[in-house]
Amino acid sequence: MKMLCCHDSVGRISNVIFEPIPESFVEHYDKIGLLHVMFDNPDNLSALAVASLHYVSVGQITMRPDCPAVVTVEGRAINFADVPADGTVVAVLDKGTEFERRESVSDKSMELDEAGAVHILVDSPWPYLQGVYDVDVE
Amino acid sequence: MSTLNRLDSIRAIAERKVDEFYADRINAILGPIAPLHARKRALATADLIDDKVDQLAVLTNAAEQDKVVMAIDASRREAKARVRLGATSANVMAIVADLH
Repeated sequence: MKMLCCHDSVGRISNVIFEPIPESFVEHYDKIGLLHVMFDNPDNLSALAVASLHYVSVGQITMRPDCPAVVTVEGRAINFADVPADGTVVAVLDKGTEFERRESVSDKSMELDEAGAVHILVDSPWPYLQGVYDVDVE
Repeated sequence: MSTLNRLDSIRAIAERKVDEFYADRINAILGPIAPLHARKRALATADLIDDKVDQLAVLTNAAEQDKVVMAIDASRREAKARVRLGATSANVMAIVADLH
């Protein structure tokens, strides 16, 4: 089902309206300067999927690119490569337990004192998707 | 290369959880009118209660409550000591799990 996607100047989709779209809406958006683009939505994606996984580039709804970071493990060291400038890395330990904690990582490598699972989140500048990596250090 | 100390960070959380667990138990012993009991204890200790039977009851109850609270606090300190001595994060997590 077609949808009208409203977005900001960097293509971040703020809300969507499914067909039928009243012409008055479009006129109003034009009047107040709210950017918008029509999307055919051939895969019948949900509003949430469109808004969270896509952006508007050169007037077209486009998939947001995957996070380019590469996360590798060597023993108890975790290495972070290709993290974009201004990207942030967070290591989540004991995810989902009462001991879950988040530690910011500023270096290109991080060493842990104990073996175990580590959930890594890499947030890159827009429009990259958040990188999610689950690794086990030995 | 930075180092992330899993054991130290979990130990800090575990110590807080031990305190929270025993604080709940102590608060349950003290009850919802703890300030009133404390006030009565202060009056009884200062010999300001006219009814001597009532005064003795207040002091006896206070002493019994102190014993229970001290026993709970001893358990709290023992659990925290074990947390501080835990050699691995798994050890430390097990100590907290055993509290419940």
